[in-house]
Amino acid sequence: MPTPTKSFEVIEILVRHEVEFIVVGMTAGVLQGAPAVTFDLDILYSLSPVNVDRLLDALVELEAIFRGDERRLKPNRSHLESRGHKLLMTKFGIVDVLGSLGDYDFRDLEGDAPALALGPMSVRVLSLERLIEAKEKAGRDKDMAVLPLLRATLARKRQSPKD
Amino acid sequence: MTVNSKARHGVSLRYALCYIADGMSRSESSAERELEQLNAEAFDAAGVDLTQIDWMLALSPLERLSALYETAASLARLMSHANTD
Repeated sequence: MPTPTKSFEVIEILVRHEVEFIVVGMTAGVLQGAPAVTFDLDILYSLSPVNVDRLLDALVELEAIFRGDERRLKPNRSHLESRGHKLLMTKFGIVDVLGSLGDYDFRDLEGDAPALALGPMSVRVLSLERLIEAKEKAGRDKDMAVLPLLRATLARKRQSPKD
Repeated sequence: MTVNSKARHGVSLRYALCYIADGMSRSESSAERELEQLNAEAFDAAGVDLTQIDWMLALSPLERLSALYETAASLARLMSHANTD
């Protein structure tokens, strides 16, 4: 039974640990106005050594383990230094920690991830344009399914920009 | 009431019922037209409900995150009830 991820609490811990990250995936879409539901939080993080250390500390606080692993394996520095997707379960729910998004990493995308005010925090969120592009490139059924919604949200935002 | 007057009454009653029914169907079709017009404005060509987008765009990012969590939490509760049936 999936339980919704407490994304705000997860982001709060990442921000407190000064992790450099971008919110990607459908939570990025929702934060920019897409009326969608998602049960997880996806973040793309910087692979710099200092950031990997910060992320590791944050994941310890989040009590992160790899999902579906019977050993309840905890992510370590080597895992985080890789570009692959780390599919984690935390005390606040499902968090996917990505070293890369398609062919891109944090440095490639940070310019397309404007900071949004999230209560007292300022959080980088992948722009709708880039999110749509990423979903188009991924091309899986689940990505294609949300494209009409993301495109319509982008069009609507352009008509009445607010954020 | 005579037979004729009963007949006349019957005719006028039938007429009245037909008139009401006709009026209702005209009112229903006008409601349908109104709904069609509202729906045409609400959805884009891909079938996306633009009114939901407008609702979300009127919120702050923090409020959107809260709406996401509440919706997902509500769905999770529904799913847990569905599993016990």
